[in-house]
This record gives sequence, C-alpha cells and structure tokens, in this order.
Amino acid sequence: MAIIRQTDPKKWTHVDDTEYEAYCKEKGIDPEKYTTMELLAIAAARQTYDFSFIFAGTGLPMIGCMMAQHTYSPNSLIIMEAGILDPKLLEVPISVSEARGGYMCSTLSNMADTFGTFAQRGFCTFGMLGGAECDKYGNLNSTTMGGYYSKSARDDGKTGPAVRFAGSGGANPIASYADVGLALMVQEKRRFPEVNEFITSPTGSRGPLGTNKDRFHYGLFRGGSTTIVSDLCIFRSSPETGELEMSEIYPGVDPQLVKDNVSWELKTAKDFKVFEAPMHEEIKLVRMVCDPHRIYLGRKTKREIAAHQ
Amino acid sequence: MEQRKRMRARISEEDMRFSENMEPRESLETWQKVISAAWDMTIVALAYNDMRIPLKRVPETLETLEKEIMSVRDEKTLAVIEEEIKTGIRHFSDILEGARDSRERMDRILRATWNRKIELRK
Amino acid sequence: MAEATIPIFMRGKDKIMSLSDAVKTFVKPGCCICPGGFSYTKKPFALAREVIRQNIGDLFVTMNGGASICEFWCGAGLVSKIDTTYIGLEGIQPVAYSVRRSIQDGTVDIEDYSNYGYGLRTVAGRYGWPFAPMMCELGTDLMEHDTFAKMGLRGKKADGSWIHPSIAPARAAVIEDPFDGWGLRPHAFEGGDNTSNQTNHLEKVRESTAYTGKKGVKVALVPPILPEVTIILAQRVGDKGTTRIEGIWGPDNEQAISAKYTIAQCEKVVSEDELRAMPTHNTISMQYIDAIVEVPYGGYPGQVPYYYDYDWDFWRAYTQVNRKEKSEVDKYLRQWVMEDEWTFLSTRPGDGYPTITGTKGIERLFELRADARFGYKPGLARPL
Repeated sequence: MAIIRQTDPKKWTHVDDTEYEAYCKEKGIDPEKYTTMELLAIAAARQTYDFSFIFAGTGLPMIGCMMAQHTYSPNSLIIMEAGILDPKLLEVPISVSEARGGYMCSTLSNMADTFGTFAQRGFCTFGMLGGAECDKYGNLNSTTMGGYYSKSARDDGKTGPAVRFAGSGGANPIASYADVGLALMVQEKRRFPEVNEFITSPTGSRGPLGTNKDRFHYGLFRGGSTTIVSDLCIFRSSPETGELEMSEIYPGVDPQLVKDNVSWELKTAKDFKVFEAPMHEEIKLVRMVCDPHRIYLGRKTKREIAAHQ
Repeated sequence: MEQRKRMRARISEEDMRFSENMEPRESLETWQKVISAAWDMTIVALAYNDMRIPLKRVPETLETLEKEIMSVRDEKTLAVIEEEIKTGIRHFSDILEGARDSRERMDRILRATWNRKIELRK
Repeated sequence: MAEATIPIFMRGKDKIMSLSDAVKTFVKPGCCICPGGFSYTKKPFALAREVIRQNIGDLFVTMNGGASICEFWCGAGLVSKIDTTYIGLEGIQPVAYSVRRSIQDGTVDIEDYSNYGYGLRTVAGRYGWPFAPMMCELGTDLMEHDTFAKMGLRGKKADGSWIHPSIAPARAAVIEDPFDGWGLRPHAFEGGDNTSNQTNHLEKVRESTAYTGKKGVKVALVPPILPEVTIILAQRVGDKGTTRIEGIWGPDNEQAISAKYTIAQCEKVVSEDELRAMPTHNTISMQYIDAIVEVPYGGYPGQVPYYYDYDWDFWRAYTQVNRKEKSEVDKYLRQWVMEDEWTFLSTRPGDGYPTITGTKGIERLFELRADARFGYKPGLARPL
C-alpha cells in the first residue's frame, strides 16, 4: 500500500498569524522557539501517514495524535480507550476516557470494546505511547523498578519495589497490536537501560529478530518495528536485527550526547540524517489548535530547565 | 530577579486548610429541589441531542413534500400522505404541549427569582 | 418467612436505600470490591467516601478504571490487595502517590494486568464464560509475575473449596488455538486485506513452541473477575434497577454484571417506564442491581457526563496533599469526607484549595455544570 502523507503546509489546518502573535504575547512564549514537549509532539506527528488508525495513549501522545490529524494525516482516525473512534477534540482531554475525548465520535463504548473491535480486529496502525524506561529493542517499562513484588510476596526482605510506576494501562495491548509502536520519551541514560528490568510493552521486536526472544516467537503476530521519539533524537528499529538505531537527530544536538544517554553501544542507522527543524506552521498549530492552555505542552524537562540557566 | 514559573504553582498551607464551622447559607431541602429540577431539564436536553439535527431537517423534507402535492396523480398516494402527516401531528403536538407548558413555567420562575432577590435585599 | 426468601435483586423498590445503609449492608471488611468509572469520569465517589466514613478496611480492590478511588482508600489505609491495570492519576499525577507509596512500603500487594487483559476478564464475567481469549501480554513480564500465586492465594484448600472466592486458580493460561489462527487472518476475500494493519506474521508464530511446548498459534486465557461487590455511578436508574449510563460507559456494565452484589449510585432515580420506552439505551438489566442510592452530585470531584465536569482545582491541590506524611494524608481524607454526604457536598466543594471564584458548597458544584450538548463544561478553566 502506497504511503500517503499531506506534506503541503498550505493544506493543513489554518492558524491566523496575527492571532498567533497575540496568543504568544499573552502566554509569554517566543513565537519561533519550540519547547521540548512541542518538539516531541511535532516529531510524533511526522512519523504517521494518512488514512491510518492512530491509537492515542494518555498524555502527550494525545497531542501528537491531534497534531498528526491537523497536518500530515488529515484522514487518519484517532482511537481512544473508551471505545472512541474519530472524536472531534475541541478541548484537550486529560484522560483517554473523559467526555472531551468522546465528543462527536463515531462510537463510544468501553475499553474491552476498543481493544477488541479496533485493535484486535486490525485497526491499529500506529500506537502512540509514553514510557518510563526504554531498552535496546524499544521495549517499554511502565510497571516497576527495584523488583516487582511487595512485602507479602517478596523474597529479598525489602518492603516493595524501589519505584512503582503506573502500570501497563493500555500500553501493552497497544504495543501488542499496532503495526508500528511509537513512543515519546525524555532521554536519560538511567531510563534507557540495555535490558528493561520489566518489560511492560513490547513496542518493537522485543528481542533480536529471528531468534526465540523476538515478539513473534512469543505469540504476538502483528507489529515488529518501532520508532522512539526522544528529546534528543529519533530512534528506529533496524529491519534486520530489531535493535534501536539512531536514525534522525535534532538540529544542534551532538550525536555523542545521544550515545552517552543510552546504556548500550548505540548504532547509527545507514540513512542517518538531521531532523528538519519544526516549521513555523507546525509550532503555530501545535500551540494554538492542539493544546492552547498548555496543559501538556507547558511542561518542561530537567534538561530544558538546565539549559535555560 | 525573574522567578522561573513552576509548572504547578505551589499552594500555600493556609489555602489548603478546611474552613471550620461553616453554616450553609441555603437549606438542604431547597438545594435538593433545585438540583432535581436542573437534572430534569438536563435529561430533556440530553434527549434533544438525538432530535437536534432531524428536527432541523423536518421543515426541509416537509417543504419538498408540500411542493410535490401538486404533482400527485393518485388519490391513494394522498391518503398515505394524510395518514403520515396526521401521525406527525400527534407526535409533534405532544412535543409542543410538553415544551410550551415547561417554557411558560420557566418564564414565571425567572420573574419569581427576580422578585425574591429584591425581597431578600430589603 | 416469605419476605426473607425473595432474592435481593428481585426486591424492586426496596432496593432503594440510603448511602450509609447500602454500604453498611454490602461492603464488608476484607471484601473484594470493584469500583466502576474511569479516571475521573463517573467514579462513584459518594460510595467511596461512605466506605471511608464507615472505616471499612482490609479491602481487596479489583478495578479497571484508573486509581482515583483507590488513591483515597489507600490514603485512608483501607486497602490490602489490588488487582488492576493502571494506578496513575491521568493527566494530574503520573502515579497516584498514596497507592504507589503503599506498594513500595509493603502495605499493599498488587497484581498487574493490561487494560485489554482485564477488560477481557470483565467480559468473561459478564457472559459467564470460564475464561476469555487474550492475544496481548504475551512476551512480557506481565505473564511472568503473579503476586497472588506467590502469596499462596490461588487454588483450592484441603477441603476442596477455593482459597479465595474472588481469586482464580491461575493468573492466565496459554493454549494453542484449536482453529490454527483461522479467525485471525486478514479477511482476504477477492484478494487483499480488509484491515488497516499491514503486518501479520502468523506463520512465524505457528513455528514457535513458546509457553505451551507445542507448535501453534498461542492464545492466552484469562479468568473472569468475580468481585463480591461492585459500586458504580449511573446517571439514571429505574426504581427496580434498570440502569442507564449516559455517555462514556467505562468498565461499569461488565463490572456490575460480574459482581455478586452491585450498588448503583445515581443522579436520579426515575420510573422504570421512563427508561423502558427506549430499552436499547439501557445498559444494565434490572436484576444485576442490588441497591439503588440516589446521590445527586455524588460523582464530585469527578465528571458525570452531561451533568457536571470534574473539579480540576481540587485535583491540582490534592497532588500536594497526598505527598505529605501518611498520617497527614489519612487525617486529611477523614476530615475531607465529613460525617455524611449532604454535609460534605454543602461544605467541601471549593474549600481547602484555591479556585478562581472562591465559591463554596453546592454553589460551587453548579459552577461545574456540563453543557448537555457536549457532555463536559466547555471552557472549563484548567490552570496549571
């Protein structure tokens, strides 16, 4: 199937420049300088193609999905976990299952239905997620660090895990059923271990392709490739090995910084290139149309705060 | 010195304290009746979500039908039209009657609230 | 006595009762309780608050809807086990802090499923199936960790009875599909696929002997949920229990049907006729409801689609509260709920956290009114 993407900014959702200037003044933000969250959302949108089904995980991935619809993938349909297909997102939902996410959608039901009727039945092209930890094969850990069990079930005398995360939620099934797992993450070495302590979501191949550690061996019959969008670069899984490779780097980022912030020897993709900086049209759109109150876009990473001081 | 604006502004301990011994300004019985009426109006408004677009479309389709009457060739067709319209009149009269009564009461309640406000301020 | 033999679910209008009676009758210490709703939408907070008021502890909470109620219960020290998928406070706090702290300090044990795994369990519970087929979670550590097994809670006792009535003998099982993946192939009629997916590697899956030791298409089986009591919030409930959830269902319908007892709190109890004029709009049939409690605004501080929106300001402030000392959080919650629900609703909304208008009590609740055309309050201020 030929990949269709709407790359002409003139065909994207229109944002008036005068309104945009006034908006930036009101919010006290520089109209040209993008933030990390905005970069992630824009980069996520660029990974999609049109006429696809995009399953939105909670948080910033929702903004990425909205951005995709207003730009490169205007005919794509967003799926959210309350059985929602193709909603009109007039306001940013704070949950995958709140009334804002369900406005004017095609159907509205429940989670069991979403994963059955949409994902299991083959309507999940892209699964957009966040994660706490990401390993060499793109597996995400959103469950635990420092052991899983609590006191009653624990062997080592500790009271419980060192850090308990939110858990799978929809992440595991989204990663299990999507053609392409897309994760948005802030990149720090300690959050990019070579092997996850706990695999919650098998976003990519799970292990070396063609071995008994890959996802197909375990019974997952869809997917196999992943794109991890970090705040330093974009990783893509190698079609031969499944291993994450540095595929695109953001303008001004030193490749060594990327390599220093993963816990394994990072390979560079054969078609490695510099990511085209977010365009004025993209920044305008993500700000004014997707998240004008900056509920998600207003967040700052530690790296960002440090860079400002 | 410009303070870096935190993502979530910190709330002071004082602002987080519960008020003590707060006497409610309105009686519970009154509130219960207000809520009950508000909920009933919402329930009807909710049902109206299903009606909104068809109700706007009905005049159009009726206009088309009205114009067509002059072209009808068979009396039996007219009989069918008559029956459908009579059914429509029954349904729409129900809607109108219920809506008109409520609407008049809403006007009266508005006037009553204004009058009561004036009394309370005396 | 004839009266005593009528099953609870057939008791018609006698099922309508007060909040405190419903909780006292059906929620016992140590029971397996399933709160409905999802994140902040349609969570039965009035029932949850009543559980705190009556200090019912040692709860085994099973749920598929995010952690807002579990957060309050963990904060009040009422929980000992959790069986769930997600313990975040979506969009507000990445991990619900009281829940997280309780797991880390060993107060609470947790069993993890994914949203679809658990969703399938609720479907199995709904349809009375022995299990439901799941094709996710395979290949991950979710399948490798079983808290309840480690705690010795799975299986049968010496006398042949189940060790725990709400815990299955296994977390999951894996079989080979007896139909060899026939149902999973793209619908290749007249050539070409009929799904949006491009990838399909069933042939690789068939070659593998993972999980079962035999070749074939792997299918995981998950047991139903069988809670002792489910609590839900439905906008309207008929006076014999016919339930209509308006807008987002959440996992409520399945969770209500799967339970032994279900308490439905509602915004309004109405006549059965009102709801039966359009039976397709009703989501739970009457015999699945054992107690009906009318608590208008009882979903506060959450969102009840079409009626009122969530209280963003409350949640924003709460994330500062729940990071305090455990004893502080416990004290806060018990003060917060007050002695009964009407006192709570007349007093606490808008109190104890900054709001733009400063309005309190039931007036504040009316500031959160939703627009019936949207289901939420358009333009709701959500300051950071």
